[in-house]
Amino acid sequence: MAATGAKAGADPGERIILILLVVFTVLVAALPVARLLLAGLAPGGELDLSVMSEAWSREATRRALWRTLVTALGGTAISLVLGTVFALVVTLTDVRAKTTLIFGFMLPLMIAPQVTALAWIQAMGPGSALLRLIGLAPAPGTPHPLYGAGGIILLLGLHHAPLVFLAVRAGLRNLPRELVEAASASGASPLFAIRTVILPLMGPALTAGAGLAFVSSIGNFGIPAFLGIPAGYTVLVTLIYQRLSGFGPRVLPEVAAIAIVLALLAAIGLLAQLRRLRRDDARTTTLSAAAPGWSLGRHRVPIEAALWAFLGLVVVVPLLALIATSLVKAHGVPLSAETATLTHYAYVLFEHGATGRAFANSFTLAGLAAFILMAASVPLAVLADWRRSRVANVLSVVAEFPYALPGVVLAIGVILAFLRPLPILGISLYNTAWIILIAYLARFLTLAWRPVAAGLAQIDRGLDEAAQAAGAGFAYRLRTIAYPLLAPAMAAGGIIVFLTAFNELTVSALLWSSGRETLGVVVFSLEQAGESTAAASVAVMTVAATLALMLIGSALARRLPPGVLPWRA
Amino acid sequence: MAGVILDRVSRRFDADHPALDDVSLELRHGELLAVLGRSGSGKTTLLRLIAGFERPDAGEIRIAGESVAGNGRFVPPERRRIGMVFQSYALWPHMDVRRNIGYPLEARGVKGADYDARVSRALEAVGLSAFGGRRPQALSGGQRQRVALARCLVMDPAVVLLDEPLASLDIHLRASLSQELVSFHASTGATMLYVTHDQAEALAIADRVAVLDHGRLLQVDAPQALYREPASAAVAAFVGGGSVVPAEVLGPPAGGVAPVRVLGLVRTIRAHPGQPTGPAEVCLRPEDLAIAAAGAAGWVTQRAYQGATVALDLTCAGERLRAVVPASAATDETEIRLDIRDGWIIPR
Repeated sequence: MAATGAKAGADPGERIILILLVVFTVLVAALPVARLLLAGLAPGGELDLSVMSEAWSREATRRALWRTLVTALGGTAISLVLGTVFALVVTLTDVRAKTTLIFGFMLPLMIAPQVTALAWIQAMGPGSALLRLIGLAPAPGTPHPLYGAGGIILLLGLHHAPLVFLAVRAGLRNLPRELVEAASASGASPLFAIRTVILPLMGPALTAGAGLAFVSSIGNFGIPAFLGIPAGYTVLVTLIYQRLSGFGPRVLPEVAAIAIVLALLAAIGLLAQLRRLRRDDARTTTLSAAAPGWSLGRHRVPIEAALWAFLGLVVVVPLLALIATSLVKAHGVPLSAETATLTHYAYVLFEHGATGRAFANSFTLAGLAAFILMAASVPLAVLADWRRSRVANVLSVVAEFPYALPGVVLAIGVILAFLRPLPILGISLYNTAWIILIAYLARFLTLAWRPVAAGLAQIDRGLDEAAQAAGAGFAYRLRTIAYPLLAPAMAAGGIIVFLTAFNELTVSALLWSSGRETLGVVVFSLEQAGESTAAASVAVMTVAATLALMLIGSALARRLPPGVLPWRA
Repeated sequence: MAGVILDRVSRRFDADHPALDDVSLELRHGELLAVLGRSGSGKTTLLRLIAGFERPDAGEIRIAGESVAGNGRFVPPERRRIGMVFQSYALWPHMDVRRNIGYPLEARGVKGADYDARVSRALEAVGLSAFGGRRPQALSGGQRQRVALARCLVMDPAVVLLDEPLASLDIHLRASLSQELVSFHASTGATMLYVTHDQAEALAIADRVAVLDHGRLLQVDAPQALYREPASAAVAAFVGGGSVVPAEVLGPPAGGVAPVRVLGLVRTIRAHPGQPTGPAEVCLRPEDLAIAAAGAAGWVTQRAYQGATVALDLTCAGERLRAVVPASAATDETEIRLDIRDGWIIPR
């Protein structure tokens, strides 16, 4: 039925659009991944593991692998505990202000990791304007307490705890209410029921959340770059960055060999997620809160206080520290009415050329990526779902890879694929902004597609068939039926793509060139150059932009399928 | 002129179970044909083949004289001049009623005064002139059906296909909307194909009924003929709740009736002109049986009071039967005598 159903009534417009989508996906998603594998495993065209063995014979590479595993596993453990506890409390009990609590808990995931790292550096370091305000700053000259493995693990754990939270919360919402009620009827106290019934049934959700946190941790660049590089603590991602930015394209085969191992590690984490994907695909998911809604009674106020204190400590305090740093006259001076100034904002906006450019670049790149992907995701979803096109279904799976793989892996693949001059045109995209755009399109296609696919699944396919029966061709139906009906879901996808691309550093750190800096790159360069106050100013502005976009998304939420905005889970 | 012709059409989703198996069917111009079948009988596939949402694996489909599928030809739905009413009505929530109705014209590039006039005429035909600016969500179930019908009507389709439009409605709305459909058909003279699993609905509204079972067409006939003269035991059992019991035809039919031995009684009942003598099957409708002073001995196993009538489940001569008798004639006794008032010898 699947194949023939799509062919029945295929008009030329439908075929052209499908071919365009195939070309697009192959070019931006499949080609870079294929080129990476080729460069690492068969540089001369045949299977040749010499590059691989040479790269991995180095002590530095092996040490970086070990450190990657240590920090990623440590971070995942923290994420698992925090995300699970938060999901259990928020989903199963009657704590108040759940929407706000979830928004706060999701915030670290939406804020760029390099900004998070910068904020924590400001909050905890000897130069901390905030700690100086209350007289608790570490003595000047002592090493920063967050530099090194401990700090990386802590921040990876906090940054990715929302991923575990989302997985567990989705699992809890699908948990049949009767199973928990039967436990209660059998005399189980809530804590006993959680331990004996709920957590064992959450196995797949926990595995999936942990897998996701692990994959995100091994691919994270911002946190180990800010906390590891100053301490000489190098993980695979920062090693690749250092070698590539130090030696240029000639080390591409070597970094490709490292990236392939990183991709293999990611595959292990992805396998854990597959169990969840299979469950989610059934479309029988009940999104009504089937959770028991336990009353906390006299424990409610202390538990609420604990949740808010936690959010204050890990979300609000670092952001306040960041703001404080951006406002003091000179780094290390305590913040007071006399020392507060807006000169750093004026400096980064109007004097420091790279920042102004970076704002323009990031806005343009994120905007273009969001716009193109919004436009592409609707025909892709319509073809895959309503038109039952197998090709489109394969494309939507292929589109998952560039997002699932660590960003550096994709970036290297994109460099390899587009380093050489394009055929016919004879120009190379390397060292232009276009190569960053291509990487964004590849990496975030699936982010734009998911909300649209979720929205489409809620719409009666008859609406499309009715238009077809009424005489409308494929392109005409897209314009008059699919796009208008899917506009809210498309906007949600666009906001998520824009937010992610706007805050992105991992990919652009490898792909940027002078004049084509992104905001992430600028924050990173300013901090590396010791201009912490300027870096903090830029970071504060990106956080403000992020919050504004999240709130716009929330305003749309009533017109969206449940669950497409992570911060409204 | 024929509205739609299906010529030996088959459709297989998997090798063993054809969804539609060698079906030939003619939908006459201006008639309302109901396709009646249980779920999985292939009735929706039949409709979707005519619409063009499915391709036949064999056979040919012609609409208004033009071949639209088969022999290597395939005309996509958007070029078939069909109107379709979906079970959900499939009204576009982002368009108002006027634009919903005008969409088939819009898709064909009709603009300006012509567009306005035709949409207004369609709105008027279904009595919704005052509702053109509303969104479909703001309409009642009945009004939605009328919008869906007007959307078909606006482009003067060769055939209107209706996919169980009443199935999801409550029983009161269903009765009034099926009446509306009949009057819509009478006033427009549109050729209509109506798919349903509800036999009462099919018998009530259709000019002819096509009975489909396991992808095969069992019988196509006027409702009265289908009920009184089922062509097979399957149709007899499916339509009208008849009991099918073994019998022996004792002589050749004359004047539409033939002598037969059934339930141990010898009676004269309706028969096909060519009915041979010998073993046969007889269809007995619930109202064909009556309680009598003399007749076959029967045992009542279940009794359901229905107001004016009483429904009895019986066993008689080893057969399970169902009878509906006037409440005044019913008794409380378990052991009764049964007589046969009417019946039909199923042709073979």
